[in-house]
Amino acid sequence: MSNPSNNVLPLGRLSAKGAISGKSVSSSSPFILEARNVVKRYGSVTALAGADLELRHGEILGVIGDNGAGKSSLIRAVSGALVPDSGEIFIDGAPVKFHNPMNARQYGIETVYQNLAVAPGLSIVENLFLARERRLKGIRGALLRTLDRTAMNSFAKEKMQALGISTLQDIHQPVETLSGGQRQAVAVARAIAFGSRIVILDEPTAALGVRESRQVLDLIKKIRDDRNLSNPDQPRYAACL
Amino acid sequence: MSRVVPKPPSELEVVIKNPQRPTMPQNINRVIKKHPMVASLVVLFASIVVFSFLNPRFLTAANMGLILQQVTVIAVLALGQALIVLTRGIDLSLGAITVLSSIAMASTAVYLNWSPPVAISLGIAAGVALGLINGLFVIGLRLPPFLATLATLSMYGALATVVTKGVTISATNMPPMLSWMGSPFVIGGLRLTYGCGVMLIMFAVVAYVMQFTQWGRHVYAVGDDPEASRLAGISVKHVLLSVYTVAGCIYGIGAWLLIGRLGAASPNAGVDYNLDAITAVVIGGLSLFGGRGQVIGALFGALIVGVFRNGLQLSGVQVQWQGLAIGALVVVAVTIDQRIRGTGAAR
Ligand SMILES: Nc1ncnc2c1ncn2[C@@H]1O[C@H](COP(=O)(O)OP(=O)(O)O)[C@@H](O)[C@H]1O
Ligand SMILES: [Mg+2]
Repeated sequence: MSNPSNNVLPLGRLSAKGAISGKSVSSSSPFILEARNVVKRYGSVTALAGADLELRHGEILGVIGDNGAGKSSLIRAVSGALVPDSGEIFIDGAPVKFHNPMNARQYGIETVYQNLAVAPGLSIVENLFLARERRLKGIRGALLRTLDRTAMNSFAKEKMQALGISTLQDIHQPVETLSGGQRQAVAVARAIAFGSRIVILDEPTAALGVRESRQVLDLIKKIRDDRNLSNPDQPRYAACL
Repeated sequence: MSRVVPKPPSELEVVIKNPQRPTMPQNINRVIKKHPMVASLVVLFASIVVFSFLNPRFLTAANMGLILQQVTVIAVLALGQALIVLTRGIDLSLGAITVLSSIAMASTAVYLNWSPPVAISLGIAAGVALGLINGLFVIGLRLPPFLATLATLSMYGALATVVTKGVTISATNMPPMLSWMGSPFVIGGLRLTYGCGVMLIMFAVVAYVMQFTQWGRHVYAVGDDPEASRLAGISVKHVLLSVYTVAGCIYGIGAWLLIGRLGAASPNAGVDYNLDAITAVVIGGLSLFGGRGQVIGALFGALIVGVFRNGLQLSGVQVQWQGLAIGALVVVAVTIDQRIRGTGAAR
């Protein structure tokens, strides 16, 4: 809270191929996440022609570019949703390779995707815990993989409260009955509820109105600043507009 | 969007609050949306009431028991179909799988003199294997389920005819255990078969699994939004493969039921089962677009079809008209499903 910067950096030149290459202002502090020379081609389209990304402690970093500039591609590369053709990704200075989103998640990278990757028919709790459900202890949990709904419900309530989404009436209501901003809140909550270090949001306000946009941006600041939300050993970072 | 709020909220606090109190139709809408099978349950009871007024013989223990016996096989097959439909798939080969499994049971027991438990296990294993093959076609070759199972329908059907040379094995030649599912017992004046009991247990088990286990919820998630599921870290392929395999296992048990019901294992059975199972699933409120409805709905769907057939027959309606009534039910069910999905996406 003392020094975290809150600058939105227009990232680099947009090359003639319509690709993006970004470089934040250099800093002496070590980068928690770093991408070097990332290249991604879709057939004849070069989406990323050697893009760089540097993310520091406590920083909220924005990536700016035209439609089709390659923002989503860059984000998907560092979140494991796509495998770049070449280039390197470093976490705390150590090189890593991601083959799927789970790999990235193991390093504490959580992503809120542009297309609001929540399952509309599932409830808020179910979306929150999708793919990391809590199971009952003992034989029912181990053998039958029975879910521990009580634990998941109370955890969900607690997290939603910590995020200031406390007046949530019904965490069992399907996500499709929520507004765009509410869905975004669920997606953000999922990204930060499990002790992530780096939160990546791809155009989190694109589908939202002015008020909802402001709420999501406030939420992002809150994630960075709130001691209750961030484990002091695991400061959070939110990147990418 | 632009509701007038006296004091602008500083956080997301207000956002998730429900703005209005729901009115009556909204309440009904919401219940049907959350539990689409409620509608089918209402239809089931309404049709029972109507038919019992039309014909005094309808609402007797004997007739109710008969309907239950009649729907057992279709209900079990619809249970397997329901799992696949929940993943946005469809299985056109279930009739052929069931027939092949029943043939595997009967021919090993009769021709090879295998002990009945071994023969039955082999038949169920055959169902598992054939379901697994369906799953491999779907995830390995990325064929749409409709086409993958259309292809295997043809293959499995041909296999059944080739293996049996078209010959039906009568249950009178089989060890009694193979037709055990068809043997009756009486409970509270209701004459049922053991198959009815097995069917109810199967529905209870699968309903529990779907509602309370990780696998069950992942099946819903994959059917609801495969891409979101993948991004969340679910292995969509494994889920799909397991669903087709489990469905195969259910058909395998259905094959045992079928022998009991028909009193035979015949390569010519099962032709109508595909469409009947789909009908039951749809009428039971499961959405062909995946992720919606409860498996228990397939039981209600099968019962509705059974009640309509039986009730119309008792009322002296010709068989051809029964098809018309069932078709109308399908139209209503699909329309409700579309409405639910339509209002769901409107926000
Ligand atoms: N899956 C894909 N297949 C083919 N081309 C793609 C795909 N995803 C993105 N592209 C192309 O890559 C370029 C960058 O896209 P994207 O990263 O989505 O940009 P942005 O998020 O900045 O709008 C665009 O020209 C787009 O058409
Ligand atoms: Mg984009």
